Amino acid sequence: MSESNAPILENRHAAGSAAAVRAEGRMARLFKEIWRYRLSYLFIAPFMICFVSFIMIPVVSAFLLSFMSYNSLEPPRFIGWTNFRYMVSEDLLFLKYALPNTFKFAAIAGPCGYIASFLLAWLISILRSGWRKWFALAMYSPSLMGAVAMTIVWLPLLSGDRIGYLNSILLEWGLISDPILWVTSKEHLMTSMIVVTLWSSMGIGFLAMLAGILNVNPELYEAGKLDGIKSRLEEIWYITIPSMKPQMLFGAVMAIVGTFKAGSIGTELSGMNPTPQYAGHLIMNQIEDYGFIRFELGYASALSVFLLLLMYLSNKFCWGLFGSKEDE
Amino acid sequence: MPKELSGLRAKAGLAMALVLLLLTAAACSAENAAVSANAGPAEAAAQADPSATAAELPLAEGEDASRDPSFGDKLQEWVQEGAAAEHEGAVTLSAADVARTSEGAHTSVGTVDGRPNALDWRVENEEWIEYEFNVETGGLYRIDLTYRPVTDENRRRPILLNVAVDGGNEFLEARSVALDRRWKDPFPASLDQNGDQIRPMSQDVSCWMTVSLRDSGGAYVEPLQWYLQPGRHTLRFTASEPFALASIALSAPEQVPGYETVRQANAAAGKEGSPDADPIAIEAEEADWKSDSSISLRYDTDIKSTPYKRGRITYNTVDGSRWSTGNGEMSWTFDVPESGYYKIGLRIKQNYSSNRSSFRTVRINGNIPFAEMKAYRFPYASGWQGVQLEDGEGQPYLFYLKKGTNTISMRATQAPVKPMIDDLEKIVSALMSLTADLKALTGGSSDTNRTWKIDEELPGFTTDLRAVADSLEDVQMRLKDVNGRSDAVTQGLVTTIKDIQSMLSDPNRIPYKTDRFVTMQGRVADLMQQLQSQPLGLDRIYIVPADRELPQMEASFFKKVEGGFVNFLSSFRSKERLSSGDDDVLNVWVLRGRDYVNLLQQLVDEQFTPTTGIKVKVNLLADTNLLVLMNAADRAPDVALGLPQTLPFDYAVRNGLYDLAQFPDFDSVYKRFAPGSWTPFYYEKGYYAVPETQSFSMLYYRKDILNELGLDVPDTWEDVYDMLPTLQQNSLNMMPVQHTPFFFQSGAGYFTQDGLHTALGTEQGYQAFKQWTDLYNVYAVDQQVSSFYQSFRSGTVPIGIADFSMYIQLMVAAPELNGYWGIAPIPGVRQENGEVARWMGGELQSSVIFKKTKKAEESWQFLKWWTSAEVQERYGTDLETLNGLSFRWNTSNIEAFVHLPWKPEDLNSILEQWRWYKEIPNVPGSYYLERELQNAWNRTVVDGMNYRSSLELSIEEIEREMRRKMQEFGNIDSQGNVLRSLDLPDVSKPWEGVDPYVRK
Repeated sequence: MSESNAPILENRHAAGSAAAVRAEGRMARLFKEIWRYRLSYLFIAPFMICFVSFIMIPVVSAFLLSFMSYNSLEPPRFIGWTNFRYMVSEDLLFLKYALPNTFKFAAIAGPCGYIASFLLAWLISILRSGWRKWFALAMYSPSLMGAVAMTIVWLPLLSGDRIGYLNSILLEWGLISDPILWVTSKEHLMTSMIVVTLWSSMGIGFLAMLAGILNVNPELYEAGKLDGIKSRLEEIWYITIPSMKPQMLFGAVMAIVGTFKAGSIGTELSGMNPTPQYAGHLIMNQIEDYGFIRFELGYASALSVFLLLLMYLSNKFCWGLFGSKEDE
Repeated sequence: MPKELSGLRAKAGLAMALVLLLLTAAACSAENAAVSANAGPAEAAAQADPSATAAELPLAEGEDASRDPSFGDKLQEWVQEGAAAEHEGAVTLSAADVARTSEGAHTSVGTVDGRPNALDWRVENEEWIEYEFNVETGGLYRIDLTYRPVTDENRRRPILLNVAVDGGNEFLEARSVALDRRWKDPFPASLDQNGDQIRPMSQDVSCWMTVSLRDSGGAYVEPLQWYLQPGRHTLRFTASEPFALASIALSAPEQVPGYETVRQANAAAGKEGSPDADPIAIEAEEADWKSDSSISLRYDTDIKSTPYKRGRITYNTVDGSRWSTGNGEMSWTFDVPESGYYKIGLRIKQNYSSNRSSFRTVRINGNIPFAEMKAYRFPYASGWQGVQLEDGEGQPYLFYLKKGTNTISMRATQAPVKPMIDDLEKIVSALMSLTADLKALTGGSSDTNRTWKIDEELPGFTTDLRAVADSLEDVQMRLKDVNGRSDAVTQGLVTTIKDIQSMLSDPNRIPYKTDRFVTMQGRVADLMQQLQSQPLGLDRIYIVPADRELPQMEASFFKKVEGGFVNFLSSFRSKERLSSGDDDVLNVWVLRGRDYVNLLQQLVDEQFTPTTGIKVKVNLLADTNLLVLMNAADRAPDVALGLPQTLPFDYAVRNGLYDLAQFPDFDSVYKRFAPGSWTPFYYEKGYYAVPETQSFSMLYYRKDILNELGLDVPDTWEDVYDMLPTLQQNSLNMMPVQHTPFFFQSGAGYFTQDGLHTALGTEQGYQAFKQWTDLYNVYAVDQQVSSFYQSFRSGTVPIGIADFSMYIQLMVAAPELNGYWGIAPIPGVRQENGEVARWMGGELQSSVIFKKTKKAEESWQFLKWWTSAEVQERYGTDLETLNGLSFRWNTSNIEAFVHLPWKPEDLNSILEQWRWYKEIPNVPGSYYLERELQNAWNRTVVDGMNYRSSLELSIEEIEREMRRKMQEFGNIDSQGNVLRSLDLPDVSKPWEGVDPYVRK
């Protein structure tokens, strides 16, 4: 680490002194500098190449495309802010369904999934270490199964006819008299989506939290006991959570990104695209709708830029909650 | 016409009266039930009973009418009557001596393929010929025909004969006797650029052949036999395929002696000795001939399979899964260096159904050498196995072969399990009638709050069920015996027996479990189906002198490891890349499965490239989104096939596709298809795609259930409304219906003629929408049925409109329903001239030419070739012969369509529907139509909103989106002034192009 720090400092220094020199000379010097530290550049190259080609370029081109009218067949045409104007003033689907649905979905599925994964991680951490990994695996498996689980577990369970498991159980117990359309009526679709998402949300965030909890220094608990901590809950609140802030942050970011990114779940459940009366229409669906059904890739890009902004803001919010102050 | 009309009206009136009667009866009984709610189930059962007996009757009648006895049963009957199998009687007829023919039969006598005085029968449609002959000795006779099929490019099916002796079919199998062709795969197979072999396409090598008439299912080892008394008889053949016939011989069935008898006879004749010769190895794939082109070859990568070329595709074995049904037979020729006794070894793969054995009839030089070869058992093993033909003690059978050319042939047979199949068939129908009884008792509802006393309410039911379990047990034991050990099928039967026993342990709970019966029935039928298949993969046949060792046929452990390693490495060779921009070849992307793509490439190489000189590369396109993305990356094919119906329009409005109407001979292509299948591809006076396949919607109905309820197949929507109450009283219902028929048949349509507005807002539009939603709101059709196929099978939804995939599914996967369901044109609206308008659409697949192509002319030539009737027919037939019924090609080309093997009555219904085929046109923004209509439906049916306001909301949304899109494409300006109207094509008359194909 110390080796790589030095060149950066020097670099800054060199750049400052070269400000007066002609531009050409500056460029030449820059390349020369780069060449001098070629080994360091080589080391970061694999990451940089991946980062640039798979993240930077797509994001930048999405940003550029959001100011164009583009249908994938004809060359793009620059139209300024029209896409964004349309988004906030005219796109009723977006304003009436996609945006509120996404917020509702994210506000419930995100935090609930987050809390649930913390609680489960904590419960599992209490177990004996031999058992722990098996439970962790079991809890992690829903997020691995994804689409398969959807078709073989959830669809038959939530099927809207009498034969659907949930309906037939409720009918048998006499709780309902007619089968409920769990996935095709607009009242229930959102609930079904949230339940299924919660079930499958035990992803990487959950593992990080488990690791975080297990990493807390046991001496802290002892010290806490001496200082008068009475219950397990107090222990969590005063010791566990503060000492695993980075993992909490990571989990929160993953949860937020996950819920904003979710889109296919509504169409998968209801079997219709778009979902019945747009009950499960999220921003992702809106993007796909415009991109691949209406061939308005420019507007779809504008929507993705908006989504990106939304994610960025919520990340900021998470940093505010869990970011460690000392580093700033 | 008027007479018919009044008849219909009378019928409708009768039906109405019946419905009214039933309604009042239902109301009365409901009242009764209300009055004497605690009168107990006995009374209800008493009410249900008459209907139960009524339910049985039509079924039984139907069986009598439609089901002749099988050959096995008839033969038994004849033998009991004293028919002799061994006799000296023989009759030989010259085919030229025809006694009578059907009117205008295309027969002539002459020399055919070197045989003089043969009957050349160029059948068109369906014709018959009849012979007369005298029998002197009474007894059982088999019939041998010497025939030669007409061989040309487009004929691939066997000739099916209906054989009637003295004017009638004595047994079921005589209705369709197959005269096979002979096929040969040309070897050596040619190689592609990668050095892989290209699957050889079988060639028809039929010549003059003499065969005994056999059942086409491969259920009997012996040929079919007829019991003929002394005296004069007639023999009539009805055929629908042309062939030539030389002679007909009737004689006593051949008797095959047992192995010991043959050995002793041979020994007595002084045939001795094991010759001193090397083992002879025959490559199974290079057969002399095979009886069916669908017995295909397979490349096997086992290191011991021969020939074997590392990491390359080599067609080196016979595919067992394809050599499994009917009389599938293969024959090989080999040279024997010295006369003497030989044994036979085979390298086989028989791992298709767990632990189940397969059977083959082995013939040497055209005859079954001894009785043990009638149906030789090849046991199951998980991989390749080397076997020798041997007796129960492991002693090899010895075959006496003469020096010189010999042939060996193997024919699939299910004879050993045939009796069990028959029994299972009876069990399935027994279960079916038990289910019907049970349904009649419970009225279809599984009300768990009701207590049943099954023995009082359905006397005899448990006894019958027990009898079913017993006969299942019996079948299971016999199967185990024949198979040598228990297998997947016997295990399945054991599970079913256990199910029945557990139900019988508490019989009063049976009425709650009606659905279990349906499952059991399906399972037994499925097992029965499995038994009929006799798969056997074959790599090599060894003919080895009696006292020599058989060569090693299974790979050693190290060889296996090596083979696995080679296969693993070769799996990295990429074969799937989408090619584009290559100037030498025409790039065709196909949005279909691998089988479709490969076959198309073969067909192109065989027919298109040689005649036109245009090289074509057919690629597999996995996903339509890929097309969008590839286009964005400026890579596009010349031609794309198999695209969904809305895609061509989306590309056309964005200037991505070639307007096909520009080609001068477009009209000749236009005429190949119904005008209604062109509408989705129309945009601004151009057509941008050619229809390829279309999935027509039909009305599917259960004959048995409708019969039982005394209902007719509905012709109009009024009929549907009349039948629904009856269905629902029996806890049955109809399948939900889409909106298309309502909007089309009411004349509303979806868009105005100028294409700038939706036509939903017209008064007819509102009425159509009301009609559609009333079906759910007023007539109580279920809002959602998860699977029509399952509900149709179980009988809870005995009628409904579904598309072509349902047809395939029922044909392939519901063997127990065979003959119990039918299709009819969908219900329509009676017009003033008495005709019923049945407008309806169906999913289309289409082919397009991309605008970026530099080879527009070549592309158009390719499309013309591809959509022509001959090619479509050939492609459809090849697909089906190679892959089976589930690959039925639903081509949009009507001429090709009618030549595929449809049941005549189904074909006529389909053609009637085809006249009324029409798809929704596309306009900018029209994708909004479907989703908004669904939303409107949802609001009205699920939320109970008034139909008018609900549709109004949707119309507003649709109009908004259309306006936005029209502005984008410059059809209207920002003020809403029309710049270019769209002038949609008008399809308001049924297509007359269908008429020439309707069989009267």
